[in-house]
Amino acid sequence: MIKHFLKMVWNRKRINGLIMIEIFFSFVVLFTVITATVYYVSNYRKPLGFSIDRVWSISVNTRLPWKTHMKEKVDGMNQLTLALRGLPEIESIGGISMVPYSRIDGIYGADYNGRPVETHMNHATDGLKDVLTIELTAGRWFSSDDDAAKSEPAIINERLAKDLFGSDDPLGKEIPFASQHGKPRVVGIVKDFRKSGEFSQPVNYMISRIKSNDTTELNLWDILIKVKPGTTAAFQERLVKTMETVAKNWTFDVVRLEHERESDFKLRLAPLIAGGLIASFLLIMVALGLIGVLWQNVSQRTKEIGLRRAMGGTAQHVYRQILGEQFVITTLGVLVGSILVMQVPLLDLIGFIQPGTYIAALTISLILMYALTYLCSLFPSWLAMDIEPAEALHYE
Amino acid sequence: MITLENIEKVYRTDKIETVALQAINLKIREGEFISIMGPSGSGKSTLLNIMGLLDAPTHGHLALNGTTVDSYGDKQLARLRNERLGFIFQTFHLINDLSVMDNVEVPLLYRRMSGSERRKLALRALERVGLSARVHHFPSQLSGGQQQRVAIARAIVGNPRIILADEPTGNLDSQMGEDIMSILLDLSKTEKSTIVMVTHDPRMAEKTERTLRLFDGRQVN
Repeated sequence: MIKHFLKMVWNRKRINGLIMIEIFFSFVVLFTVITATVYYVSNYRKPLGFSIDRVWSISVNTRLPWKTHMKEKVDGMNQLTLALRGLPEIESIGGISMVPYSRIDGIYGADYNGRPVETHMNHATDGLKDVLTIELTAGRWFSSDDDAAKSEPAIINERLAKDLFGSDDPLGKEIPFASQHGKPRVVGIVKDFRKSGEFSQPVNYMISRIKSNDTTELNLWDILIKVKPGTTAAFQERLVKTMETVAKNWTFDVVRLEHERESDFKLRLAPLIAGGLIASFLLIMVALGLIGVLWQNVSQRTKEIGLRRAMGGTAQHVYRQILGEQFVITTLGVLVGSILVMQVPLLDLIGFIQPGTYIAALTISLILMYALTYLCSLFPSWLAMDIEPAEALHYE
Repeated sequence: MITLENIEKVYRTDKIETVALQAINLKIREGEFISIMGPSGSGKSTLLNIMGLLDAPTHGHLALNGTTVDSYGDKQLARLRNERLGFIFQTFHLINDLSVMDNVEVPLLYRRMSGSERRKLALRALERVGLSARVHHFPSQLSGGQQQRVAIARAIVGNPRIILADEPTGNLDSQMGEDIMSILLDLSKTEKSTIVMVTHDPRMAEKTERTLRLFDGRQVN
C-alpha cells in the first residue's frame, strides 16, 4: 500500500511539490529553532556553579591611566573593602576580574602532553567563595595561606580536571596555563563555574587568585558583595556614599546580578523567540496549506474515492489513503530537510553543540511535523470517509 | 445468485420525497446475462447500485448467493464488493494519476496479496481484454474504447462472479460499443460470469438473455 501511496504522490508531483517545498523549509527553520531551544534548555539544566542570590556588583573606575599607579589602585581597593566590611547590611565581600554575566571573557590555550588544551580563565579574591556560595567538590578555596606558597594556586572545574588529568586526582598538580609567577597548581575543584550564565555552554574553567597586596599583576577587579536578606535598594545610595568617602576621585557603578542575569536572558532568548515566531508562522502557513490542499484534493477526487469504495475499499481504507498520501508528502519533505540539517553535525559546522542536541532536536522536529500533518489531515480525511460511493459515481 | 425482494428506494429531502424504486422483485441466476432498460430517471442505476451494495434500499431485502446482506456493516459490504462484484461504468472512472496496470490493480489493493501476484493478475486481466501492450500508458493516452477495456480488466481482475455494468457502451461509438459488448458476451460465455448491464441501447439489450424494463421505478414486464 505504501508503494501505491508513493505512486499517487509521485504522479501528482506538480500538485504536491509546492506543499513538499513548504514542509521542507518549515522543517529546516523548526529544526534550527528547536536545536537552539534544546541547546539552551540542556545548558540551563546543568549546574551553574555559583549563586547570585542577593549579590551586588560594584564596578570601580579609578580614573587612573592603564598600567600606572598600581600601588595607589591596590591600596584604594583594600581600603574600600575594609570600609565596606563595616556596613552591617553586607554579609560578605569578594572580588572578581570578570563578573558573572558580563560580556568579557578570557580564554587561554596551552600544550599539555603534546596536545592543545584550552580554558576560560578568571581571577578571584579569597572572599569570593562566600559571596557567590561556590561549592568545592575537592580541595579548598584560596586563603591567606597561599601568600607564602611557591606556586600560584588555582581552582579548576571538573571538566578541565578531566581534560587535563583524566581520572587522576588533580589536586596539587601543575597546570600548563602559566602566568608571570610560573605554572599554577590546583588547590581546589569546583563542579563548574559558568560565568556567562545559565544558557552558556559548559567550558573548561580556571580561577586564579587575586592577592590583596600584589601590585605586579594587572588584575583589575570588580567588588562583589552579598547583602543580608531584606536589604532594600535604598542601601545602594549609602553604599556609594561610603565608597566615595574612601576613594574620593573614583566612581562606582552598582548593579544587582539578578538584573544582569535578566539582561543576559533577554539578549540570548531574543533571537530564539524571533526564530520561534518565524517557525510558528511557517507552521501555520504549512497547516493552512495542508488543509487547503487536502480539502481540494478530496473534493477533486470524489469520483476516485467513490471508485475505491466500489472496488472494495472501506471508509477506513479511504481515511488511510488520504492520511497515507499526506504522510508520504511530509516524509519526502522532512527527508530532504533531515539530510540537509544533518550535515551540520556531520561536518562539525557548529562545534560547541553536542551531537545529542541535534538528535533530540531532529526527533522533536519530526514528531512536530508528523503531528501537524496528522492534525491537518484529520478533517479532510473525515470528509473523504463520508463520501457516498453511489453519489460520487453518479453520472449525469 | 442475486435475489431482490420487494425492493423500494425513497430519496428524502426536507421538502420532497422521491420514490426511485418500488416493488422490485427479481432473481438472477448464476451465469445469467441480463440487461436493464428504461428511460432516464426510471431507477436503472439506482437498482444497479443497490445490487452492487453501493446503496441500501429503503425497504426490501437483497441476497447474494442466498445470503441476505441487509444487516451487513461497511467492512462486510466492502469485502463482498471486493470479492464477488466487478463494476463497469459509463464514464470508465479510471484514476488518471495511475498507469493502466496500476488502475487494474486497484481492487487487489484491498486484498492480502503480494505486489508480484497483483501484477500477474492485472497483466492476465489486461491480456484478456487485449491491452497487454498498454500497461504503462496512462488513461489520458488511451481512446474511449481502450479506457473501457481497462475498466473491464479492472472489473474482472479479482475474478468476481458478478459483473455490474452501468451503460458500458454509452460513451462509445458503435464500433467500440460492439467491441465492449463482445468482451462482455465472451466473459458470460467462457467465464460463466453473472452480468447485469444497464443500457439505453435496444441492440445491446437484445444480445443479453433477459431484459428487465423499468418505468418510474417499477418493473413493467
